[in-house]
Order: sequence, then C-alpha cells, then structure tokens
Amino acid sequence: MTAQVSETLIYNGKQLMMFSNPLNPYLRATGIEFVSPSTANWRGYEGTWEIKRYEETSEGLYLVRLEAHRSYEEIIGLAELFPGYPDGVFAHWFSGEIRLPQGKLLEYVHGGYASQYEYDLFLEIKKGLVVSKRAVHNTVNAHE
Amino acid sequence: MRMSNSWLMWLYGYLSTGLFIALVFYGISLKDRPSQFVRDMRSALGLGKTLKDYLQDVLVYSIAIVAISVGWPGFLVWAARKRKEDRMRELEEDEPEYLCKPEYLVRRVTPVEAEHENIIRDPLGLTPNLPFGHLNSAWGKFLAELGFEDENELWYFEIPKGSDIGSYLKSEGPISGYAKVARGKVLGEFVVEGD
Repeated sequence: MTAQVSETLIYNGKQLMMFSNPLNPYLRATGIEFVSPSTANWRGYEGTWEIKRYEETSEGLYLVRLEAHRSYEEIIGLAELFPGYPDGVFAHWFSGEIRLPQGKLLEYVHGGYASQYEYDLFLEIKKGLVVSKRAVHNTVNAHE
Repeated sequence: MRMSNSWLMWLYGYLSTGLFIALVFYGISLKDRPSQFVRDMRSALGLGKTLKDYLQDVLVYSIAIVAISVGWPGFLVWAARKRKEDRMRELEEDEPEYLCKPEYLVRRVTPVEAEHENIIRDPLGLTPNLPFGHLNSAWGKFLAELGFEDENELWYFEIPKGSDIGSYLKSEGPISGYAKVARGKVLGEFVVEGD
C-alpha cells in the first residue's frame, strides 16, 4: 500500500493537511464512485474543505473545492457533483473525528494516512458541525 | 434356478446403474481439472505429475467407482446434500453486507417521520431546503427500492462509536440512518450520518 495523498482543510486562514475523508459517507449513500488515477490516490478524488465560522463561536465543515476522476482523463469539480452549490457544500452527512497532522514529520509510513507528525489536531464533527477539539503531541517513541 | 437368475439380474441391474452414476460423476469431475495451460506451466516449473501421481489417481478413481457402484443410493443422498450446502454457502457469500445489524435497530418509522427528523440546519444556508439535504435524491431512490407492497418495514438505526462494522473495522464516529427490514432481517440501508 502506498501513502495516500491527503485532503486539504482551510482552518483559520491556514491550509492544513487532513488525514480524513469526510466525502466518503456521501459517496457511499449516493452510490457514486470515482476512478483511482494512481496508487497514491485510491479514493479517486482530492477535496479542499473549510471550517466556516458562524454566530462567533460556532463552526461547520464545508467542501469548497473538488477534483474527482470520473475516468482517468475526465476530472469533475464541485459544480458537477453538487450543481447549484459552487460556494461550498455543508457536510451534514459526516459525524466523526477529522485528523489534522502538523509540525515535523516524525515517521513516514508507506501506507494510507499512517505517517506520524509532531502534532495532531482532532476536530470532532457531528452532522457537519464542530462539537469539540483536542490536540495530541506525538513523539517517535510513543508509537514504537 | 430361475429364482437365482432373477436375483442375479437384479444385482447386475443395480451394479450397472451404480457404474453409470459413477461414470457420470467421473465425467463431471474432469471439468474441474486444471486446464492444459496450467498443467503445462506446472510441468515447466517441475511441478508436473509423476508416474506415482498417475498410479495414485488410477487407484483412487478405481476405488471410488467401485464404492459408488456398490453404494450408489447413499452416494446420491450425500451428493444432493453437499450440492444444497454449497448452494447455501454461495448464497450467503453473495449477500450484501450492511453496516446495520439487527441489534442496531432503534424504532420503526414511516417515511414521513424520517423526513421530518432530517430537515438539515445549515448555519450558512448552503444546503437544499429538502429532507436529507444533499442526500435527498439518494433518499428518494432508497424509498423507491424499498417495496412497501411487501412486508418490508422502515427502521431507524444507530451504530455507536467504536462498534464493529466489518471483520477488522470499528466505527470512528456514530453512524445512523434508515434500514429496510423484513422479518427482522436487514435488506437495505440508507446512511445519513457516518465517518
């Protein structure tokens, strides 16, 4: 297995790697499948997400950009998958934790999202809304 | 003397029937042999059959043909049962696997109740004002496939975080949705919340 290209999350104006795939439950529910363009992207798409703030302290997860392989050559975007919603799509189908690795790469693992970075920021999402956050400081020894 | 002849006739008939059945099954078994290509490849790799293997095959098939010729009624019963078991196993393997197991079913609902429960509250108003939001079309398709004319029921289900959702996977968040259920068995699912 090859390490997989990450999703991207824009959070507080910064672009972060995201080691989670919040689009997958939507694709499962709708029966939509994409084609893998390489062994580094088995899911067949790369999404850019954004945590958008509302009512000062509340936040929601939105898909704001997409490059998805309908075939090896044909790439579709957000407008094709969600016609009429070019400014963002609220991920109301997603509940779970998203992992945002940050800092130095401590250990490269040639598979999935298994590589370890200095910090992990976890955002817990409930039906598209951010409900809690936690940060974990990783060390190489902690994972041996 | 006539009685003895009659008995022998029955015996020959019985054994002939058995021999015929044995030869039919032997013919069927030949279909499962590796193809000529595979046999040639095995020979090229030095894994071909030796004289001992051939003799062993002849011995095994001979014993099997004699055994079936003599005890063919029992063999037919065994073959029928084995065929039925194989078919059942194939059907089980072909069945789709659902995340929702019967223990996760919470309550029976109507489609209207399900739709009322799933009005999406998008704080920025970027979601269709329809039940299930962006999943509305998928919900319609699920309902269309549900087949309410039969004994099918619609159930709400919840899979708690950390539950087994496959042979090796655990859910990393809560999973909920609606399942098509008939006689306690899950026949379809529509996941509205998952990870």
